[in-house]
Amino acid sequence: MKLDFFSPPNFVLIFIGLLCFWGFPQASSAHGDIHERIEALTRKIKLASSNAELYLRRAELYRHHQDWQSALNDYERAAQLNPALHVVDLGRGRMFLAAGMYEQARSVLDRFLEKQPDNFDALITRGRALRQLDENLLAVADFNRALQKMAEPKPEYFIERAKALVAQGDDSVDAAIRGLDEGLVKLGQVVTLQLCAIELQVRAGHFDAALKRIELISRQSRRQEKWTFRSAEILRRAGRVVEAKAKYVAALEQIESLPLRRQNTRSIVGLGTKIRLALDELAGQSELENTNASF
Amino acid sequence: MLRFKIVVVALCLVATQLGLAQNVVRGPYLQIGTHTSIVIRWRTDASTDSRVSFGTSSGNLTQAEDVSGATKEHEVMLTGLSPDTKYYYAVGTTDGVLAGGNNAHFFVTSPPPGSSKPTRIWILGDSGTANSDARNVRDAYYQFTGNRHTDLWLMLGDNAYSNGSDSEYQKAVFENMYEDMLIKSVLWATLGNHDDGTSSNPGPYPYYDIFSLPKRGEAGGMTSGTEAYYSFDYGYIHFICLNSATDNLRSANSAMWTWLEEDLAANDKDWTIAFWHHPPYTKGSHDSDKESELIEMREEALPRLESSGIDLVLGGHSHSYERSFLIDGHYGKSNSFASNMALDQGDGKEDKDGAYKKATLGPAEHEGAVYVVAGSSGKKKSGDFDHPIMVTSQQELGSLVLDIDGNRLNVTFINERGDTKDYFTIIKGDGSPPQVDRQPPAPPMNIKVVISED
Repeated sequence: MKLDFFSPPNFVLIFIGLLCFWGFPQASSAHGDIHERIEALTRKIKLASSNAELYLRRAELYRHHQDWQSALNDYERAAQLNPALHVVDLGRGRMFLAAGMYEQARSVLDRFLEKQPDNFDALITRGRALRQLDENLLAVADFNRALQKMAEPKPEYFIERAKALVAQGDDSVDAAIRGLDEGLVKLGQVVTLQLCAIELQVRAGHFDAALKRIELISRQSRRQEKWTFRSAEILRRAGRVVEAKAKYVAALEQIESLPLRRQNTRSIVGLGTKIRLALDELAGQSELENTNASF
Repeated sequence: MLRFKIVVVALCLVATQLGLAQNVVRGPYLQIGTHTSIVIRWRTDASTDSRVSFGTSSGNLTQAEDVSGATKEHEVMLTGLSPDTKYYYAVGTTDGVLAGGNNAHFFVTSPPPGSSKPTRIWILGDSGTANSDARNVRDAYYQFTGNRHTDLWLMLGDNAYSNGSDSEYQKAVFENMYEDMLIKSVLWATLGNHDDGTSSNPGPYPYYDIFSLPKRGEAGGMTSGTEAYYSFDYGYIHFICLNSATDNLRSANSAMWTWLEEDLAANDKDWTIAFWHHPPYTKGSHDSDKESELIEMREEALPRLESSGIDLVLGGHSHSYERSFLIDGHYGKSNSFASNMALDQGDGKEDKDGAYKKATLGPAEHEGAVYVVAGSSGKKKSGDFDHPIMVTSQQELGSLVLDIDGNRLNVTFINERGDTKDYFTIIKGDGSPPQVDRQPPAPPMNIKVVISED
């Protein structure tokens, strides 16, 4: 039989073998009592060596432990013992993703998703692999499908989809913002989603929309100085100098209304310094504009 | 005629069986308590609709909240409640009461946001063994607290061994375990490495089905959008629950860290307490110099927390009790700890070296925090116990009691026999911090969401 190095199965095995020889990056980092759990499963496997589930569970622990070779061995054994245990491919997909083997992750997840096309965990995992492969359009499709299927999607999935969209170019920024808004409707005023949307809107020049978001999200906070400063920065970037100045001044007033002890903390002193610097720069800018106008 | 009678009797028996088959097999238990609302949950062995009757007198439950639809997993949210008020309650169906309606079933709403009230908090770590050790720890606390109401309690993860399955939760939390506390005090939990289901079936862990946790900022703090990490307020205390058990949440630039920064920036409460499972410092049955979860939490969470005025950090995972000095700015391995990172090298005991003092009442950066490992509420294990930041390290079963009153926080560790094995006090805002010659800590982080590729 001719050995084809570049055929996928052989390539994977050889690649893993080489990685084992060189040492997987971050492989086998310590995870405490995971060893005990692995040992407990090993004892069970000795008593029931044809139990595919036990191998799968141990493979998952090895994966968590970043012992890729042992994980792969156990996944393989589980699949041999029970070829109908398709979830082995989901585990393998996660392992390949974590090991930085994105093509391999995609391959096994393709196979798994043929069997379980609506498995959102697999869709998210493949979406992440596709992002690493710079296949952002396909990644977005996976994230879209996963988010449709999930009753309670996590905020980070919306952010990851937005990143995949933005990676396709500026034309996709509006779609990315719409995707974040979809998350905000589903999950409420999640600060991480709003901050992403604000950054994208500022990038796209939608300053008023960004300011509205700040107004909305700042209602959750009893302390306003940082949000007011953010508004001032956006106004300044929009070239709305008078409004920006007013916001900077308002932020300073909010700082001055804090108890003296808190005014003197490093972060608040730093924020005050930034505000005063911005006000000085704006004053200098106005002077220059007035001088130019007088000529 | 006889045949008719037999049929009637049989039908009656069936009807009786159907009608009375509804038993509460889990709970009731209290979740997401705020100053105006609470969530009451319970499980029945047959599907029914849901009703909570409640009122301020145990014999007169004048109000009711119904949820239609038959289910075995009941979750009813009561709203429009008065702050800091004791309510009695009963759970059941629109046809009748299944549990409660007596003096034992009550809850006390949180005080209004920002208001000061003497508060008792019970903390269990790694309690999920469902064995006599866990019960002895429980009983020791019940004996300790007596009639003093527990305002809220925390579980620091590994709440149900070995895999956090629903049946393990039943034994480790709900059945012959913490029922007396569950019915009257709101429980807030965090995810441990043994709560992850560890099954081959992908999907949410039972933990997320069992607990209702705030994801929309409904109990204070910023909206996280997820039950994996959250915050809540109790009067003048801000609690932050982080998730150390989920790999991608611990990584740098994860959404959890962005949320944490914003949550801390919005916080104006007098006290700030954070908890998660994997402790940033331990030399017990785990080693914070070697294990990635512990290292990542120390490197990512601590700089953010300390630059925003954290007072106390609680963790489990190591099955022991370990407690630090008042420290700041130690983000490396144990051998990188320098004496100037200890803001107070005393034991924090008022009757010995004196209480730890922090200058500012409220969040103020880098005034020091105490780090506690309390992972011995269900089992104990040995370790090197030589972390240099620790005042004490003990292989003792036990649980932690926090008493916060105004500007004073007292912490007591009691073992399973009811002996006090450690205690310390933090006092804020009425004294100058100790003068320690030390390098200034790292500058505050630039808070920004990065949308660019990671």
